[in-house]
Amino acid sequence: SNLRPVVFHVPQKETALQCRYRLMRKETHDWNQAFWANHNERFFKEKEDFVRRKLDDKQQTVDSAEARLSADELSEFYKAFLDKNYPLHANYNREWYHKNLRLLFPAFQVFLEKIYNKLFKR
Amino acid sequence: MYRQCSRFSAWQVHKHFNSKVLTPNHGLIAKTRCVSSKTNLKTEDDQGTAFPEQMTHIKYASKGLEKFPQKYKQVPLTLFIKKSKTLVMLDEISEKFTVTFPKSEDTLTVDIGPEDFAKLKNMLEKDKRDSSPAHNPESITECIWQEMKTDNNKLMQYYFRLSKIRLTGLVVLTAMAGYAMAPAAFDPIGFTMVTLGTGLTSASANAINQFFEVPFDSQMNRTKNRVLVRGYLSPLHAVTFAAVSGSVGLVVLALGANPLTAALGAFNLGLYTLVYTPMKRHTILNTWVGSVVGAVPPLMGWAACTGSLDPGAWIMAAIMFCWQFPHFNALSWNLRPDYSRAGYRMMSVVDPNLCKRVALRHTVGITGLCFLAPVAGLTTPLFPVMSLPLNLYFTYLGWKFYQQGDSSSSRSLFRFSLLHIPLLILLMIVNKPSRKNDSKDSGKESVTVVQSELT
Repeated sequence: SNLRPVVFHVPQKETALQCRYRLMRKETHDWNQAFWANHNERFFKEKEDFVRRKLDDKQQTVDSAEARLSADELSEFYKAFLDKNYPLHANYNREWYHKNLRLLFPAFQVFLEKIYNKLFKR
Repeated sequence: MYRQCSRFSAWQVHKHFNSKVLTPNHGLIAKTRCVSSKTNLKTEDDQGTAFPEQMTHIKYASKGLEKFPQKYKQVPLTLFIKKSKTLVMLDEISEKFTVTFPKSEDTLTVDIGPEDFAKLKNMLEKDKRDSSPAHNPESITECIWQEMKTDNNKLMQYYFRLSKIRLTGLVVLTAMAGYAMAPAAFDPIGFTMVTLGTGLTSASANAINQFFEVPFDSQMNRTKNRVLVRGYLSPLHAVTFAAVSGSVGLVVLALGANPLTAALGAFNLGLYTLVYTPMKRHTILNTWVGSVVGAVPPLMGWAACTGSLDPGAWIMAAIMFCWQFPHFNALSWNLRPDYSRAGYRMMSVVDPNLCKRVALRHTVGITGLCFLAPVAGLTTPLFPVMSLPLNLYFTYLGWKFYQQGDSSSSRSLFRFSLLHIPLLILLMIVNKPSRKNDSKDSGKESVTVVQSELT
């Protein structure tokens, strides 16, 4: 996947709120990684298959220097792939918005808690 | 928190007598695509004689963790010397090659065996075909672990990038044009208020858009360096920025201009963030909604000046609406692979013929609308004549794009669209009908009214 892998730092004295927030973030991040890694792998594999099939139809070998499909031919593949994956993306979208917005409030809580600790616990 | 790219391997440099020897370091990443090397001890005396024909042109790129210079777009292979944090770009590789550092006396020999070299070549070819961001790193910062910390010195820079400052600037420009074309007195305070308000509202809309689209932006080469994708700002920070700038912007519009302007601003903000952004992933109709978003700023400028929306304002908005299509369709034409993989439903992927037709249709529309401008009282009759060459050339580029439908015609259409709209606005302002007679008449009217009241 093209998402940057993140390692979450666990502070020495992590409070309950921070722990909950970190676990939520980690879960969202892992879910995202899994989805996109899977999706991108399928995309490149299907693209290779498509290119191979098209080149066979045109009776050219895959690795020759002139074996490049034109943008118009490739656009058939892009359209087909997009349409095929539409329900998947619609689902992912809904889930992503839900997870993303759900992370905002715990983030805010952690932020407030940090300020509170800085002001009153020292 | 640290991040890492799953691709490159780093080579550690050991100082060994007077020469440097490369050994691979597998330590960094799990999925290494690493090339082994035979240790090849060579003293500096041998460098010149051994492989003169294979001396590659090495450009000494940058020290440390900076971006590659812009002209080196296609980077086949780079060498990151960890200890000295030096980055060297290689534009040619072969089985054996040497690297020289202009700033020091040392040279480096890299000897890759023939089979590994063949493997490496294969890898590079495959990467060129795959256009995903992971296979096209543009900076070493994409390949090494980095801490996700907000650098407070760069806060303003991050905010500019979060608000897509260039796009916001153009939006503000169109709002100023709307204000300039409106048939009422020029009030410098009102003008500043509408500029500021529109800028803040647009910045807020763009920030929310970036917040919603983090995983999709990281999939596309064009947007993979956005602030939230890279983690320079936390999502909460971005949302707070958007909330503050949006509310301040709308208040400035409401108080500094008038409630109609603020209402238009709020409508546009909602349309962009809550309608256009989700729609991009569901239906191609998003382009039409996005064009409405682009057409509203001149209306805002006009309303700030006169307090109402006259036919002239609608003509101006219609021209902006039509302009969005050739602009966006041309841009999206070359991004089809990225859009397809990221799951965006755009005309260029879903219905390429429609894409080209619509672009052409709207270039013709702009030309037609410019003839309607004097009828609505927006400009003098000279305006359609003066803008005709500009519009005809734009239509010609649209026609070429329709006929050829390739990357070069789309790029020229896109580039000209960026030139076309400022020039058109300039011509509009130059051809603004003068209202001197009106003010004189109204002046006379008020004088007579006062006289009749006194007597």
